[in-house]
Amino acid sequence: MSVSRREFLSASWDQSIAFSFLGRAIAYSTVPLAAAQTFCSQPAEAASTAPSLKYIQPLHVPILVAFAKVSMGLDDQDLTEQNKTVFIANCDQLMGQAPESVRADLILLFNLLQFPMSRWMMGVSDNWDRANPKDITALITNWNYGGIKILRYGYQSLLSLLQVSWYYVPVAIAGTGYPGPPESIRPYLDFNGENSP
Amino acid sequence: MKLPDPYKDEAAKSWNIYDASRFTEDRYFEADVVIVGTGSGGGTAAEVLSRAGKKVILVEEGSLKTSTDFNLNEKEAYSTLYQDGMTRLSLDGGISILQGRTVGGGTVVNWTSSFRTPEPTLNHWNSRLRIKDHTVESMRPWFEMLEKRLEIATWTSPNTNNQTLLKGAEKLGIRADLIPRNVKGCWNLGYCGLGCPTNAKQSMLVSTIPSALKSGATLIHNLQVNHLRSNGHSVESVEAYGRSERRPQVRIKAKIVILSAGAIGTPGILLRSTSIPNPYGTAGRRTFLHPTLFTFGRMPDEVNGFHGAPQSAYSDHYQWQDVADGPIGFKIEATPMHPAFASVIIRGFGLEHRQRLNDLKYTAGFLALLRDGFHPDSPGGRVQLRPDGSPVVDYPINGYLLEGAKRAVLKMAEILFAAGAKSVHVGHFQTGDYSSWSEAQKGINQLAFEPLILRVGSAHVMGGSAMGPDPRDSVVDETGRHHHIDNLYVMDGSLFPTSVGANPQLSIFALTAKLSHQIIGDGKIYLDLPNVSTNH
Ligand SMILES: Cc1cc2nc3c(=O)[nH]c(=O)nc-3n(C[C@H](O)[C@H](O)[C@H](O)COP(=O)(O)OP(=O)(O)OC[C@H]3O[C@@H](n4cnc5c(N)ncnc54)[C@H](O)[C@@H]3O)c2cc1C
Ligand code: SF4
Repeated sequence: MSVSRREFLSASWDQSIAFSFLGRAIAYSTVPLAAAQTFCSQPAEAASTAPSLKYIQPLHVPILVAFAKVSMGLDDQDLTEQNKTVFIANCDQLMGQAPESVRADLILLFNLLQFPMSRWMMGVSDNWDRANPKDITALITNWNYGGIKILRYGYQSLLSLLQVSWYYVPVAIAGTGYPGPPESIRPYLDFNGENSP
Repeated sequence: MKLPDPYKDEAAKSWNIYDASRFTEDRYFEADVVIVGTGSGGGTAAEVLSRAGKKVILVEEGSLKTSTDFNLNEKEAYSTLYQDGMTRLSLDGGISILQGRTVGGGTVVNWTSSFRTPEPTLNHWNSRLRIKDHTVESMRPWFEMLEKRLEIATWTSPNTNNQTLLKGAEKLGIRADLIPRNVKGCWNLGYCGLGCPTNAKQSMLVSTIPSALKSGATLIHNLQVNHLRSNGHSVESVEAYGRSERRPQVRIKAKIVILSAGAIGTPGILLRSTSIPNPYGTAGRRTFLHPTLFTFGRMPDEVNGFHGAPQSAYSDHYQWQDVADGPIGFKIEATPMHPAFASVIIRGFGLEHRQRLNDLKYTAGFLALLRDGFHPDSPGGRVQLRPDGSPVVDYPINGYLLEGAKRAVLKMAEILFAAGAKSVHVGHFQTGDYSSWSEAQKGINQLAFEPLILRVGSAHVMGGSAMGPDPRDSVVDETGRHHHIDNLYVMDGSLFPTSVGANPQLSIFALTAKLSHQIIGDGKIYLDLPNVSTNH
């Protein structure tokens, strides 16, 4: 079932616009973007629990977490509330530094994904915070190898964002065994503890 | 405890430094020379022209960060010292591009490898691209001077990561050697990419820019040049704005305008400057990136590739076999391995990716730079403007490059096994952990070498405002002067008509030193060299 839904979605993306901007592709997709944005923007603002985030809406957070878990092999123990907050803040800051068009593409992607209809059409039947990792893996596989460049671009841009943002988090750094800067230089650094796990 | 920081010295109090993000009103400046961009090219030109007595203004869109600010934290360094917080991509996302954006440009974050422009490159420019002024012979004294100026010498204490490259190459009978670096009293920490905290790295930030400031130059940072205004023959003013919410406008008038904003920034300014003639559409064309591939080996013992000078060994064994007519050549080097950076170049999905990151301490990392721009099938990319006016390079990755990418990845894997790797994985989304060379060959040959799932990076942006004799295929002449605008020069990596075929900083230092001396034209040397009184 889910495969055919994904196929349906893929087939209906206008492949003839061999233009590599995700945003443009989304605008041409079967999911009316305006509807997605209208549908999502109101509750998102109402539910805003993290006012310090500039680009990421509360409804985007479960999407990012779901993709991060599957893509980087993380679990709930890694993503404690505290680590999750730092991780999402890192994603938000990184998005702030990205070129405007890349940021716009990512926001469009998140807005599309948060729309239940499009999530369902991509083969992920449950809400993002309960989604089956297998569904997400299948979705990612389809995006990467389904032959539509823009979907691959969308996932790979998202992945880089997630990876850098996660490996900026002290607990993730600690997991790599990286000990921080050598002892010899530490006394001279404006050392705020973030340099090492 | 504090280490010396030239910008915090008593003497620095008399330097003319402005932070344009603090301008509360629009401003106007005048000078003999305005230099846009303070990296390898801009920094070098600033020293020469200021010491020759010109009134110089240096403009930089990044902010002034100095050794006291460098705390070796990846997040802080990438977000304050790099273009787009290190998220810069080519148009279709296929190549992630690292460039500096701070006073000192790329030299503040680069890995200190200092190669002369390879002779085959200069010969190719001469024989095929009709570059007559910058030959092996005429460039030699400039390389020698810049090597002296920036303390460039072969680094003889390679870290384990670089030793792995030397060891594997030796086992296979592949030529490999040590790299000269621009350092003075280097602590061998390994953080050149995050800003050197000891000022050992002889970046423009601590060498030529202080020297220009001492000679009376003015530095304006957090000032982004939008465009140049010209009357069709000369530039009348440089139009810029301060990087703050208020966006104060700044106009600078100067007799000479030098663009040194790097090989994406300089073509970007030219394209935004609609009054600068571009009759053949050459601005932004033929941009080269040394498209870069990655391969990793799980070694039996700790490698700790995040510590120790990041690059100190290389192999050119596969670089020059057929300069212009055959398959693409590549240079192999080591890569630093700090966690966030490694998390992006190390590939894979889910737990596999996590395991590879968990093995970071034991992982040796190599990269291969493809020598683009020499063969007709390697036309490079093109800088264009996004709707918001920001420059982006469209660089299609074609079959010619992908063939070289596969060969490069295979060779790096072979070297890693020869050096004793227990397993190898490559910078490809579908990579396996191959436990023998034969398994790796089989596995790598089965991978789809396609953009985006293959990690392609670049830290060397070149071309786009190429020098050359013919305005139909170049932007400036061999003196760096714009073909159509008398008082406009380009002095940065965008001058190169192909990629360099080696890490480019010394090529840029030497060429821009030569060109800025030509502007003065009195035969004297104005680089801050010990005991120089020679004419050239
Ligand atoms: C991580 C990294 C590692 C590297 N390692 C090495 C190495 O080991 N050896 C080597 O030889 N090379 C290395 N390089 C490459 C080398 O540093 C660059 O090729 C070189 O610095 C380019 O010099 P440039 O003058 O062309 O431009 P840059 O050094 O990039 O300087 C351009 C400056 O112009 C500024 N600018 C851009 N647009 C504007 C505007 N509109 N207004 C005002 N200012 C603007 C930028 O902020 C920047 O500071 C590395 C680069 C990076 C990023
Ligand atoms: S290795 Fe360390 S001390 Fe040496 S130049 Fe690089 S950052 Fe500076």
